[in-house]
Amino acid sequence: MKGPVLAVVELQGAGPVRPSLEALGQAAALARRLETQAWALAVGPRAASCAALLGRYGAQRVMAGGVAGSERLCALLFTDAVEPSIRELRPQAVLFAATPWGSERAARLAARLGVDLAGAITSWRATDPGTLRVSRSVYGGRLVEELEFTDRVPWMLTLRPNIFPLGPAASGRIPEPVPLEVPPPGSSCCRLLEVIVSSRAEPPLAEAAVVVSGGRGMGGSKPFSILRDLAEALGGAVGASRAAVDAGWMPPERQVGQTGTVVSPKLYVACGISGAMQHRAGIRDSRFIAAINTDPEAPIFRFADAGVVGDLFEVVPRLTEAARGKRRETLEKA
Amino acid sequence: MRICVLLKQVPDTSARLQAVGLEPLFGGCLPVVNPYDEFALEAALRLRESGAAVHPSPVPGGPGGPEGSCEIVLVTLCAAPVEEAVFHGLAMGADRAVVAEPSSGARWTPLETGRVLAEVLKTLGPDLVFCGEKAADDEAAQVGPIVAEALGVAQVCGVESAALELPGPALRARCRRGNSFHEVSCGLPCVATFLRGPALPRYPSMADIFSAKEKPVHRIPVSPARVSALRRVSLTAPPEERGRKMIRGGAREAAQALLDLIDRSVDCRA
Ligand SMILES: Cc1cc2nc3c(=O)[nH]c(=O)nc-3n(C[C@H](O)[C@H](O)[C@H](O)COP(=O)(O)OP(=O)(O)OC[C@H]3O[C@@H](n4cnc5c(N)ncnc54)[C@H](O)[C@@H]3O)c2cc1C
Repeated sequence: MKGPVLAVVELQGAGPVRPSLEALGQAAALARRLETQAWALAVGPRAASCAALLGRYGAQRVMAGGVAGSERLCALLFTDAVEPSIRELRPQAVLFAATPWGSERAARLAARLGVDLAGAITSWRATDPGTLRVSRSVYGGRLVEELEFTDRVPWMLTLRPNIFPLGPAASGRIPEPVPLEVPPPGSSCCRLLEVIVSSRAEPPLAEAAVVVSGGRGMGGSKPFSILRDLAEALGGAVGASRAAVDAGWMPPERQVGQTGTVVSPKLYVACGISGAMQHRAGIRDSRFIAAINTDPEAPIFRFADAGVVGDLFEVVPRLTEAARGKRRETLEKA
Repeated sequence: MRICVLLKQVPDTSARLQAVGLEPLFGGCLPVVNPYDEFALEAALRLRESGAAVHPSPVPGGPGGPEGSCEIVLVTLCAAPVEEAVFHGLAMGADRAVVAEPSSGARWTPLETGRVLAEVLKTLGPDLVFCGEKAADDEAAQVGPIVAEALGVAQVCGVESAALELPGPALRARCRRGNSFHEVSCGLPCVATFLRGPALPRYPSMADIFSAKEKPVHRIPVSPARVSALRRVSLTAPPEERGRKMIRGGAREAAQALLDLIDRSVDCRA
């Protein structure tokens, strides 16, 4: 019997983050393919209380443990904490979500175990039970590589958020809890002093289902309020091109692209953005791209699913109105 | 104090690429410094300019930096000629460069790269290792953590800006985590990986470019410990263009038509 497929879950506040549940869903799918079990691992004082929820998303067993403060272990101490249990478990594969939290821990753990990691994958297939093939973007999405894992295990993966479907598993039995011995947070030389929340109202860019971005065509920081209105109406987050960030209109954490965040929303709306290669690097995996630009020759239109040639200051407010109207309609129907 | 900055050369981020077999075809596109590594180097230069990085090295037994000064050393691993990237880094203000030259041109995995870089770094005894969070070619975002693991030190990832805390010294960093920031303090030595923060990399002046030519570049041959079982089995260029349905009409009609099309195409709430 093969070792289990293990999803390492990121906890925030009361529960697991959405990208981790997406990863858990894929862990369950891979486990079915390999005819083995899907396990979840979570570290934090309230980790054990998430077991039932993790079970609904596909975990057959949940390893959980940790004392106060252990949900904030730095990557080094986190690796120290989980390494012995993972070695003992001998998983066939270990999956993390490719969030900032997951990416740095997956890389450290893979290095500790001396195995390879395929980062931010967007698809996988188990060709025969002994191998796994995964696809991932390289060169800013200009190329896509397929990598093959063979007999050296565990196969380690991080999964790009928003790519894989989120859905409670069919049979949601309460998983068997497995205690995880997590040493009390020792003295790491790396201390978390403060958490500064920059935007409570919007989802993080990389995880947003809708991203509305503005570029140099916005002309200043104030006009971004019309994008915030549209994002709110559509239930999304506001992003920006590098030109808009360089101009100081939006903070760096809102930049989308090669040197900003890579987003993969269902809907991406580019307003006053020309569509430079480095901007496209951040939006290629969007399901639907809409562009609003005064210049009919703007390159963004070639890479968009739909485009409106027009002044964003006229089109965006109308789009917001229409979106609000539609939302009211659906609410009334419901 | 000694800050080592890991630097990688990547193809121009604005060029179109094709794949031939398992390798990209760069055509005439220019090699540039990985933009994330430029953010790391800029942070190192600012740390030095802040005056705080003049501490004698706290690394026990290591060679450390000369007392009362701060040395910035570029470390790069590259089979191809890396003159442009190294030269640009020296022109930005690094003091010298160490180039690890592999015996063959085979592609290295992050695990192999990170481990070899760590071996080179051990001979340099850095107080801080700075690098880009990811590279604009393999997009792996792994080398920083792998190097930290191989050196047995802590890692601080996703740093937007950094300063030195005295006494200590410790690295004080503002790290991006989705919609929030973590303010962390990390004792030395450690590895920090950088993102685009408020400070953009500087452009070297003509004088900087001339003086870069005089700076020492030390080359050492390396061979990979072939530790990887992960193989690339295909490389393809995804389709460039999309449906590009153009919507005409006045702003109100166009907006309504766009929304209808969006609604028919994707379910944003699912
Ligand atoms: C190493 C490197 C990394 C980079 N990384 C990134 C990155 O991560 N993200 C990124 O975005 N860029 C990045 N860039 C920059 C990129 O090359 C472009 O310069 C940038 O994306 C341009 O931003 P923009 O489209 O907002 O501005 P512009 O190219 O100036 O385009 C502005 C657009 O707005 C339109 N417009 C003007 N007024 C209106 C109006 N009223 N209504 C509608 N449309 C209007 C114009 O027609 C034009 O198409 C990078 C560059 C380099 C060299």
